[in-house]
Amino acid sequence: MDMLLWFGNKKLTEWGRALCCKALESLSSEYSRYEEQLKEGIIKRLIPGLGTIPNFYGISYNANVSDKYELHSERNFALKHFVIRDSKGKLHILDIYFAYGLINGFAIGSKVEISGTEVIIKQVRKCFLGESVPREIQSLGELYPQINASDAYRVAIGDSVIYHIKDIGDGDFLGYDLMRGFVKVCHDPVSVEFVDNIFDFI
Amino acid sequence: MANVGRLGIASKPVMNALTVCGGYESSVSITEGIAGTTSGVHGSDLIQSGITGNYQGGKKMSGAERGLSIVGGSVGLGMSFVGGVFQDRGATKWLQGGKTFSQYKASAGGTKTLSFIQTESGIQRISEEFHHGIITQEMQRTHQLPNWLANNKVNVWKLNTIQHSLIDQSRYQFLRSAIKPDVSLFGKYNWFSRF
Repeated sequence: MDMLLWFGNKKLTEWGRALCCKALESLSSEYSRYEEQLKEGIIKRLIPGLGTIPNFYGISYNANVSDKYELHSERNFALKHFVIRDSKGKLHILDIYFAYGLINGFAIGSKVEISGTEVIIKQVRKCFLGESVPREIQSLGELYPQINASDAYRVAIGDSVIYHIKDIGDGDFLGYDLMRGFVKVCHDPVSVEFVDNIFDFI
Repeated sequence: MANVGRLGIASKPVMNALTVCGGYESSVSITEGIAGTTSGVHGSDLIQSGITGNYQGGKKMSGAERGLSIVGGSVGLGMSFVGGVFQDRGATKWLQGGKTFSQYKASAGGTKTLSFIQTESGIQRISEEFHHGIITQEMQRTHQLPNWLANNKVNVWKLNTIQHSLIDQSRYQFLRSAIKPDVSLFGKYNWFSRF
């Protein structure tokens, strides 16, 4: 069903853009960069059901806009609990997700009509997102501001566990081995090389 | 010669490069400035570096290394032939030329972020990725195949992260665990998923 929605969803895309714009307009200027992205047309297409979050609408990016705004070191977060009151007085909860300086998608239970809605921001809270990783991995973000703690996740390679730190393209990544420190992990062939200067990668 | 052994994994490509370039003077230490910088560089990249006079990453060659470079069919100062057959620039280019993988990617437009798949534990970036379809990078390194043979439109395929993961088990292994169950030929994220 989701796949069918992916085709010809111009109206859906426009609805998503308008909904997010309306919600972000009600916040302080701290979030104005996300509003700008939306107005510049960052959403190429909305993808309903992308990911594991219920009622989530993912975004396929227009690369020329996303390249302009993408910030690799920006932590991933969500603004949760916007309350949308529609023209009939019914309340809807909206959560908006952000990643690497880009708007990443939003979750809402039903397709609320935008005109005549009111956005209530009293309960909006900012939640940082990311996998639970050891303290040593989290602290890398404090030591190296270029490292994004949200990028860290476990990858099992053979008998060892390496924490993904940053994508370096084509599936290869800069990782961190708790025993050996920073490593470069390649997939063709699978290899783990010790890295002596991480600034070549971050 | 003893110094060459210090290169470890990269020593064979370097020695081969020297053979292609017509040998080297045994008293010249060719490892100065090389040791510690060759990690992750293809053997053929090193060979090409020996010809062009630069390493990948823009590091300049030392005087001894420059002595190994070939310009206009002659060998630089400080060099003499010790065995091997000198080959002219044209033949060398044919045997070893071509773009490195990173040069090829840049010329093909580089990689772009297409989307992010959001999960409760974090996100999986979906981007354009380049995959060696027929001649893998492992094959290129093992057999020291030239760059032009490995890095071209026929052999390097531009795929998204999901497509790449479907045809390359190693790539799949590096995905965020939360989305792995959904990535398969008939899964939620399949070959035809649009991003």
